[in-house]
Amino acid sequence: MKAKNTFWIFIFIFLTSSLFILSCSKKTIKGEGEGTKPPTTTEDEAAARKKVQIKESDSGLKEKTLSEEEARRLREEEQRMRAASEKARFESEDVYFEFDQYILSDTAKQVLDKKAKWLKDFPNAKAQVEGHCDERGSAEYNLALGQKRADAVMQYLVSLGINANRLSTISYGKEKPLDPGHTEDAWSKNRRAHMVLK
Amino acid sequence: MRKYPLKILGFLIAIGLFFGAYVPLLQAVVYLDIDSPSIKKIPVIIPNFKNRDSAEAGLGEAAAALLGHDLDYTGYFRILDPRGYIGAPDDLGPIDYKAWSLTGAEFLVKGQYNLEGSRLLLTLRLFDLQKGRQLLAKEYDTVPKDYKKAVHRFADEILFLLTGEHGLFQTKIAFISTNNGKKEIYSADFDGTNFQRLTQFNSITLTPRWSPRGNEIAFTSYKDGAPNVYLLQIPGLQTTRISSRPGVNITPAWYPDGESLAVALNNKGTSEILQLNRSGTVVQKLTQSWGIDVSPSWSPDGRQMAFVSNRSGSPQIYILNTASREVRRLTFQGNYNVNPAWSPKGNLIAFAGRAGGQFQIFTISPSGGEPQRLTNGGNNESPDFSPDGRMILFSSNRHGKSAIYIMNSNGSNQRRLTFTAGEQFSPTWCPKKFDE
Repeated sequence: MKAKNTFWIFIFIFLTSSLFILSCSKKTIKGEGEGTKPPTTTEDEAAARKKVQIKESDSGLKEKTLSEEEARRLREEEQRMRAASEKARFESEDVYFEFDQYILSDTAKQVLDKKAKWLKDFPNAKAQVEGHCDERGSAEYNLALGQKRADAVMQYLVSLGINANRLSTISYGKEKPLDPGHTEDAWSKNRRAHMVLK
Repeated sequence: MRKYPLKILGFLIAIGLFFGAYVPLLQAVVYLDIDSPSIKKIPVIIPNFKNRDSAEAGLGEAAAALLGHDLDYTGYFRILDPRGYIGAPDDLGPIDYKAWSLTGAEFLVKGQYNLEGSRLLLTLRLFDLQKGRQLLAKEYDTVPKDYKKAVHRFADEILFLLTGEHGLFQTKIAFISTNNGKKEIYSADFDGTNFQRLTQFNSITLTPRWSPRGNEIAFTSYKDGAPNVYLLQIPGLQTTRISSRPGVNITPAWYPDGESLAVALNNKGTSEILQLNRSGTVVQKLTQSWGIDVSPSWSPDGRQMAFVSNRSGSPQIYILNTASREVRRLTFQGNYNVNPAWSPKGNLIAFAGRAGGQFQIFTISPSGGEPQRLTNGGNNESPDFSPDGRMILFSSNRHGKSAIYIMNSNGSNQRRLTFTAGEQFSPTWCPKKFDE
């Protein structure tokens, strides 16, 4: 029993050490400068083929990813453009006021009806109402007047069913005129409520 | 400092005796009644101050010019050219009263100075040419770079002696300027010189209001995104936010004791003016309306507050009695009256009102009546009184861009103070002298 065990241990040691020697000798050869040559043994050829195959299937994968990315990019671009045009559609039209007034005209209400519909179509959108004034009168009074205009717009939108949490207001008084002119035409453009998406 | 106090005292006693014992001393020496509706300007002549040696020769010329500039600023004096004198104007010999009178001047200021090491000794004398006597003499012991302070002080002495009122020569103003493209707070001396930027928020900053103690400026700024009220420490320039309630937080106005401010808030259709302490806590609610209430200004005793409201349909000026809570309308002429500023003397409220499509400065008695129009041409807005109530600072675009102007409280003597790049708005006068 003991002799049999000793025999198998010798066999095991022989095999492992010969494996060790083989792998060492191979390394030595490579180290002598032949490693850069293309493999010549059948084993090596097979390995090379395998590698090429992997490479080919790699590039195939890559191509697939690229076309998917391109499609996604185009989709996103389209979404962005649509979002931008929707954003522009929402933000483009202002609501105008008479001098020293913050009552919404019928025209103003029609514009706001469209904005309310838009906000219902995009239920995740949040908007800020900016109140602006023309340059006439005190900066101080116009700050309050701009707030009144923004508040009037917000209250109207809320009355149309838009959640107040989606809306905020800010007054710029006469500090940010759209038209820097000093004519009645410029003033009428500057007495406005402007809406921006937040 | 006072080298001739006995002479002045002797002069005052002499005048006092002349007018009789029942006349108060100060009233007796008032040469000019600046409350009279039409003032004849006093002609004064100021030759270059003479140096006893040759060092710093330019100082005498600059100091004499500055004194003339100061007196001219008050609107009560006319400065004559000393070359009208037949002799050598800066001669240090005895005063030839008769020869000086021939220039048309009624008063003469002579100055001499010398430098002892780093010290500047400047002696200034005021002479009454008609009576042929010296009225005032002061010696200032200072350093050459501070000669302006000495001159400002002597100008104040002259003004006090001749009018019974102190001058503004040691005060400062602040205002909004767009020098760097954005609306920032700047300060300057009373005459627009010594221009300095105080803020750099790169935002929209509005309505600076100097505190009664002179150590803070309250203002509104969008620097954190929305119009909030802040305090700016002077001279440290640290900023503290005191009101950032929803909507607009605007038009801070100091209560006379400097411990609280009235601030206008507008949000969700409601407008109110609150009294806040310096940390922003509500002391009391002063007004509330569904319209617009803004631009408070306290009476000097703090019992009343002027403000702008559109409760009658257009912006008009109202007065709140803080004890009885009664509100009465003050202005009835025109459809746009804003920017009330209560005089520190209590007797007038200045405001900007629309007349013929442009804004003009008016004054009105706090009890009401006919407003007096003070300006013409261009838009004239944002009046603020000097600490003595004698002058009004305001903004005007009469020469194109908006700049800071000054006038006497009766509308005379209107002059431009700022000549810098950009536009200037919303001036405020520091109620404290800066040397104190």
